[in-house]
Amino acid sequence: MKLAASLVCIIALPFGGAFAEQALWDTFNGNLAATKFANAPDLTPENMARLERAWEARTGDVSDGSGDTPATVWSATPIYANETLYLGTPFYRILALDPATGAERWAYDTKSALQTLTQPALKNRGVAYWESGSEGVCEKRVLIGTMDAKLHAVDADSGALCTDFGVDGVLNVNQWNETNAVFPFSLLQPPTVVGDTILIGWAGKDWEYTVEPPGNLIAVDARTGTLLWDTGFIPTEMIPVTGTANIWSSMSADPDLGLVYVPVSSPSPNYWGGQRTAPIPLATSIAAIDIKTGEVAWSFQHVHHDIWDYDTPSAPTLVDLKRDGQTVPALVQTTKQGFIFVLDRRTGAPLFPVDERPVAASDVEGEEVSPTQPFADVPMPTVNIAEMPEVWALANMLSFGQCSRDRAAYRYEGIYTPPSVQGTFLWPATAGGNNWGGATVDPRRGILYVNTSQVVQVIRLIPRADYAAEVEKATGDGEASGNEEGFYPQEGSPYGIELFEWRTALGLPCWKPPFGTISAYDLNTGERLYEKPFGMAQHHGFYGMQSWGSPTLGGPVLTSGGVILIGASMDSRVRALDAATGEELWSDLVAAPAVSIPAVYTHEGIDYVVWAVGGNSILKEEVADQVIAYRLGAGN
Amino acid sequence: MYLVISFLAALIGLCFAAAAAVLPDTGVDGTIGAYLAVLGAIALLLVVGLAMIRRVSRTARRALIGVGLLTAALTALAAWFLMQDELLVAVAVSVLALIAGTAVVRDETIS
Repeated sequence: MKLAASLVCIIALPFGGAFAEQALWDTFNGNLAATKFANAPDLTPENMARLERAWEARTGDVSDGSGDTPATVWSATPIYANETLYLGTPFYRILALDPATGAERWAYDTKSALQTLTQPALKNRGVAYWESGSEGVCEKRVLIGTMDAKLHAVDADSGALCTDFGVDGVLNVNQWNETNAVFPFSLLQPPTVVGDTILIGWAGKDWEYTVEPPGNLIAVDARTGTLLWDTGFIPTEMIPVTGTANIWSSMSADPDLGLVYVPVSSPSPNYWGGQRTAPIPLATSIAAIDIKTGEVAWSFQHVHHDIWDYDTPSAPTLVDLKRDGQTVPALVQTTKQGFIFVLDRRTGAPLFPVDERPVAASDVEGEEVSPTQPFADVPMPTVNIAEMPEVWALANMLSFGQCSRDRAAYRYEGIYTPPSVQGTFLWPATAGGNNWGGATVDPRRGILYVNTSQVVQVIRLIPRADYAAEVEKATGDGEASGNEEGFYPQEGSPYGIELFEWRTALGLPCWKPPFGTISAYDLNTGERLYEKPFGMAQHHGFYGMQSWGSPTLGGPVLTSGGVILIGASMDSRVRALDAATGEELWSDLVAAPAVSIPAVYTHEGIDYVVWAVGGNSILKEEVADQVIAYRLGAGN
Repeated sequence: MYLVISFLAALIGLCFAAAAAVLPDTGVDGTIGAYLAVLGAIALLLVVGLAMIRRVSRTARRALIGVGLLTAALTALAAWFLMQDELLVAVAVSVLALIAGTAVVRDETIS
């Protein structure tokens, strides 16, 4: 009997919380392995016709930016823990809701100033949860960060501040922002909690300045907020000339190996590297960090000398794969470039071939691009990296040939064509490919599912002497710094930039559809099982054809019953797909694009899926404050 | 009779179009596309209303039908791409009834 129990433990261990704890959804990606796999066997393709709204709530924390309050971008994944659903809002409040009804149990307001200190909008991706294992006040805590770098810890039962954390319950993370502190450490992504350690990354604005805070990972004690270690990602000698390589997205962890896996972003500024030509090995990398010491165990840089803003965008997904009859603890990283890197998570060694291949040289004086970049053909990239999409005949005709003229005018010599003064096609776009929503993985079979945007942008370097005049001419007010599009000053470098989607004057994409897809991959063999258009694009209210698909932001969740649950598309729908085929089984219209990862939880024996519906101006100008939960109805 | 049905269908279509444009969470509320559909529905209603006037000459009636068909086609196209099926059905009913009603008026004129 003991032997049987041990075997069960051994088999279950590699999957982390994927089975035993999945009913909770107590962390951003559902579990520390970031599989987004929900142990909900009743949510099957056959049952999806019975999926119906269980409840809906409105937080009131929303702004379209037309008044005094800046616009909101809300991508929170709800946390289900302590028999309660916890949400962070873009006004930096925590809401504790009844999981069965959506009724508010308590609310906590950080009273953070609603100012866009580092972002073009007020943003929040949710909260984190920690429990000590003991009973009592503040033995279970909910944590929320703010744009001005304050981490608040409150009691999970009452919402009262836990005064033993930081100073009276608030930890000023900006106290560790000591170098090149041109902006605060914005805590938009909830921290990752591993045991009694809180791991904190932050966001900034790496399009604004050349010399910025150097990226780091901060570990603090969950009870007190005391600093445990602080690991930086920019070499000391490079700190005077650059910055960032920060962690703005979620992380994953393998407590058994004692490692946290972090997605490290690009150095600053995003699109010019003439001042940072020496290697920065941890920038745009996946790094494995020792949870106890903060030492870098290994790293894998997937873009050398990044001048495309190809940040590592999402938590690496941890899954055990079969190779030559052996079980290998693996890590899977989807990327903005569309490559899927599959690594041995003990060492960082690739499990499928990764080749260094020559890429185009820069024609801009002072820029020194890397002569080669890593390419992975297996699994097949989520976008066609061999060539950019063709000109879309419909858009070309309606624009009287504008698209063809653009195609001839802008530079493109394959992926990693450097930014140029004449303008360079950015394919895949700076938002990906794949972004922070990441992938979901079936840990039982090693199948990965991921949504992908198929978007072409143009990036143009603007000499410093011309930048202010060009911005003034284009915008009228001289201010046009955006998140993923617009003018970016890159102060301190010889070039500002303009970044925009390749569209006609009427707004039609110039590139041939699809604009978004969903794909499935067998990670054991690297084979792509299917790729299908996903969602519907929408412009001025008009929907595109289903075969065109939609760009997406947000991620998918997989149920053990074989259903993919996903919002993410422009068309303000949440959907259920058959994981086996990618076919749509069910959809529902919600208040705005659900640019979030849903949470799936089992409460009092009933499975729920819940989305925060908030919108994101990258997809379209529509915002909301809707929380919507679904469950299976009685049916026939 | 047919023209009355056409008018009522166009009126209902206008209500659907307005609701899609103004009510929250329709998926198209507040968009240029939805307001264009409202304009189309108004135009169709006006055309049908004019067609109901018996003293309109044959030439004018033909012109009205032409304009009505064009308006209806554009409104239906908008409804299709806005995924407003109710509006699409209302426009279709209105157009069919308009054609039938005009044919009846012509028969009455001939006889």
